Amino acid sequence: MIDIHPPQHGAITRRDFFVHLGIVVLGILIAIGLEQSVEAIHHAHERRALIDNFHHECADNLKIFDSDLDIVHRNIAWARSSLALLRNATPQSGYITVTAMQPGELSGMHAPSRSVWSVAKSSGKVELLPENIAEVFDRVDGEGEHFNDLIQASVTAQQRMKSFADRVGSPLNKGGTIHLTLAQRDDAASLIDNLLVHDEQYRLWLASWQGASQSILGGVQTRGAMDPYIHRATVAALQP
Amino acid sequence: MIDIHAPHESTHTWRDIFIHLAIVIVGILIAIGLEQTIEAIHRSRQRHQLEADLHAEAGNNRAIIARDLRLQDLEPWFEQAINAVDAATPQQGKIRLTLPFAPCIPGSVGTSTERYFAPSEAVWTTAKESSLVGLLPVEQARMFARLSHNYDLLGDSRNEFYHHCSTIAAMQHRFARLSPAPASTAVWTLSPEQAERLAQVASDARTAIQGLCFRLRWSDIYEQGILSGETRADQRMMSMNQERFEDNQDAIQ
Repeated sequence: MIDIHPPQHGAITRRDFFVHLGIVVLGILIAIGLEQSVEAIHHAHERRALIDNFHHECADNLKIFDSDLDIVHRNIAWARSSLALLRNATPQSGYITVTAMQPGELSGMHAPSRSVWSVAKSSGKVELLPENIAEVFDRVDGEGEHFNDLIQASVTAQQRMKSFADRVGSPLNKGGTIHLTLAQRDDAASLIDNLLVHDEQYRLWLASWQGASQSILGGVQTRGAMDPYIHRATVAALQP
Repeated sequence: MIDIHAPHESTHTWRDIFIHLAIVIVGILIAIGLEQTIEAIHRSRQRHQLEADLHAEAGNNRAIIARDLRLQDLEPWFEQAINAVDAATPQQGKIRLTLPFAPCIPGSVGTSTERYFAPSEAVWTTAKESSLVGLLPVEQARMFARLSHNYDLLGDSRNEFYHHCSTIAAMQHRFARLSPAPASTAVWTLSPEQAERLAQVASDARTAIQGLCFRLRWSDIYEQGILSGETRADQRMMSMNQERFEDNQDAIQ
């Protein structure tokens, strides 16, 4: 025989209910905490990767700056000597004859890369960075943007030179002897002058970008701390 | 006899509580883990799809670039115009030139047979807008970022040619009349100054075509690199002999 007694209280007491609820809430909080910890570690890893990638890009770009600045320096020297030659040439029978114009060279210039910051902005990873570091990186990219803005104007100036050379039958940047009417001389001087202005702008912005990149490798933490690097690079680039 | 009583007090001991707690935590972690796994699989698929789309676009662009390079075939007209002006002698203050119709259609670049068609950047642009570019490895993203920059410059080169071509089309409208013979030619009647301007614009347009073709060839190199899985854009491009592109007046990538 089985003797069954009814329970003396309800199957689930109010205390049971709150204990159960407390366990579930605590369990969820602990799980969320763990998940957030993993997320925070992941974000820290991504932030580290972004900073490292940006540093690597800056380091890689330094080689390109050196190469480009070398070419720009040669172009500026060529433009200045060419302008001097044109201005000092003595007209004879309405023509000038100039020789020994040293070849200028833009071929081989290579735009430094801006892809890391561009991709980070698109993918929202810039939000991982502390405000000060994001400002520093953004300034580097801003210097690059200024440089890129110059490219098309410079290409157009180069093309005008070529077009002029085709018209008068004398390439201005290939060396050798050329004969020009006085009007052509003035046109050539104007074109070279225009090119010189672009090259000088190139030099300035390349140097600024170079200085900004060097500041990254120097570990600057604020935009203001970048200024000495940019100033030094600009002064160095302006040295003859 | 079995005597069964309902419990007189709660069965929850500390041990029970911790077991219960552990079950809840593990259950939630498993759920989060599963969700993250699915997310990772989804991201992996998105990345592979993006890479496949970028490759497909690169293949299509190579065909477009090959077609665009036929713009070089337009150069002889500009050459002919320059030579005609140089060789012309004014008669009663006017120069008359007979030239084929200029290969410039207002509002377009080129002619009905040799026409510029911009390579597509749709996949890269969409990937940037939708934040998918972050899925790509840095070196791979750099290739596409550089290609995109190159296409920006290509657009500028295209506009340069368009500008000169529009000027020639306007001059043709203003100064040229249909020639009775030979067919498809026009007779231009110009003052020496106008003729000089025509020659200068023709020279500018020809140079612009060369610049455009140079930029197209560079773009093609990048597209080739993308198709072959190249990721060392900087090293490869810096060491490349640019003379292979000839007329390299605007050699900045």
